Amino acid sequence: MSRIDEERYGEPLPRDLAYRIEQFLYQEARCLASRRHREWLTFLADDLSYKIPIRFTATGSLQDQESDELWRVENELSKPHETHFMDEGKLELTARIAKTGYLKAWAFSPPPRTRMHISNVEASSTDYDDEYRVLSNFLIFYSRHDHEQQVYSGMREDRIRPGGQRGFEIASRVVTPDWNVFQGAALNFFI
Amino acid sequence: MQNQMLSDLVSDDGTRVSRRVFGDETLYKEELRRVFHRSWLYLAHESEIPNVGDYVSATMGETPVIVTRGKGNKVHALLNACRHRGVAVCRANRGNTRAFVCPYHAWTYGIDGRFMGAPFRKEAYPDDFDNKDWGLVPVAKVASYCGLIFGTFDEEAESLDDHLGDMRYYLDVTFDRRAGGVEILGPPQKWILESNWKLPAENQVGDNYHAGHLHGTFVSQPAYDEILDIAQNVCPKRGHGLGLRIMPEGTAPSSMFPGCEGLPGASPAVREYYEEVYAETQERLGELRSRMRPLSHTVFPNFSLLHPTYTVRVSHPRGSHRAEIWSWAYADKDAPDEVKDQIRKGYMLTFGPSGTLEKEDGEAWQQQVIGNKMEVANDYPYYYGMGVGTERREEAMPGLIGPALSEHPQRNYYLAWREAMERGGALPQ
Repeated sequence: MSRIDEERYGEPLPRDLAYRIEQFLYQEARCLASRRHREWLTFLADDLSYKIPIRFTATGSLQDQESDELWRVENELSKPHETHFMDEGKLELTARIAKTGYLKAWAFSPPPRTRMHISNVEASSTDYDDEYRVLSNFLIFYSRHDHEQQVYSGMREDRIRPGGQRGFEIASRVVTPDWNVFQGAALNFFI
Repeated sequence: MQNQMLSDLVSDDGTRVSRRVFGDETLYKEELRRVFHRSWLYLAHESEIPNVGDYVSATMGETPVIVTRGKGNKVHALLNACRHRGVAVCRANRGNTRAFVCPYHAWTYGIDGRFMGAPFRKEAYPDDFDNKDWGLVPVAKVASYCGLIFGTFDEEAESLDDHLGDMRYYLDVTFDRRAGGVEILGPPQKWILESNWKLPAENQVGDNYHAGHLHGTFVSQPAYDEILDIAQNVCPKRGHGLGLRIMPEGTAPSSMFPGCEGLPGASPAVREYYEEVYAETQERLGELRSRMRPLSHTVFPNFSLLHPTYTVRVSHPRGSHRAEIWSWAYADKDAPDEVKDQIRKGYMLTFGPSGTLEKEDGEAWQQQVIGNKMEVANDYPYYYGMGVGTERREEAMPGLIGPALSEHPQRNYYLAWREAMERGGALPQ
């Protein structure tokens, strides 16, 4: 699974299960906003796949006119074998986080103020009993030093399984960014 | 302000550079004309537009252009603005097309920029309207080196080969190791720095100094010591520069990979690949150059590459304190897919807006704005004198060569900037 399948709606999960998954995502967002980055790793499965493709302005094809194929979001995203913003596993994320924990890690010292707002959570079943497909929108407020300030928007498609230290764990996450030129100096936060 | 003032901004020996060079709005507007309207500027890599009709968008300074592959494989660079009313005719960052059609009145242009038609062309246009006169404005000169496409607005500019000069000797180490050259691994990452555009270029022209400090949590003391020990700074031509590791004779081919020990992108598969192709590299580059493992390069004014992390980038000016960085990953075209994948992943972990090292560079470059804006301190220049007088010439390789901590590439970068500015005559008051 490398790309968000925006066309599929899926069968919603039972209310109780969907509620618990939603709470899990909110807990994850609060964990990140509180800068508990090491703790964030406990939300992630050991075999995690984490991707943020590049998004750009593309053109549609003549033969796709008068159909929804014309402006498929997928055509605006870098392909699986191409450069992304991020394309890695838990090992790499763990290494990134290990390096943020120093006073002389200048990209995080002093750290930015970030808060991720999660909405539009859709949790549905998959072909596997123990894996759920969870879509969510995010809005990240980012502020650093005295005046640096940006807002970033996008969508995530997660594969979430029961298990791990949090009751659930994220097995894969694909982010669809809503930006073309990234309006900040660095993607200096986790989505 | 007289021309004399430019010599006040960059001292004759390049060891003093005024903070106004980075922060002055008047100078910024002048450098768009004097530097960006006249220099050779990086546009794209040929592998991004392999087929006839392929195009990518680019900018030259602040000017949007389209880079296209026309008939007969000819590469064109065209201003992205309709000749009728100036509306952009190319509305995507990349694609393939037979024509560019202006959305306003449908003036239509070929992939090579020629005027192809407009509604009511016969009925409404006078007899003296000649199609030949109304194509998209072409970039005056377009040329490639090792697949790197450059363009200049200056019809009288020296050739690209002359502009690069002896930098070509060192660019080959990165781009001509194998017969097929390199290919770009996907669309560019693009991001905004609230920084002057020259800072990234100056860093990559040969700033080995910062590695052990700004990147101290990533670059270990032994790794930093090794860089300082074996690296040299080279200025092949005024304006261009690089940091360069030259491995001792007899170094095992397994240690000749482009990357750095301990950094991502130096996986066993990558290292084995470079070991396997080392004989070809030796044959193509010769004994000395096949022992070279460059660090970073800048080609004046704003094209850079980072050899150990497989990236080329441009620092586009967007204001005196605003730069837009475009950054691509590349790999040898004939490298196995697994090697390309690991190179791509190593790049994303270290450079680009998500890269651990790039984030620290960006932080330093943005924070420099604080010093640039201190008008009260305009009489206090920045210091570029490190290693002054240590640069020398050597028989074996071209350029001015000095130790890793010599800032002669930076000094010559700002002297090249000053020369480009001086060519435009007196500065406006």
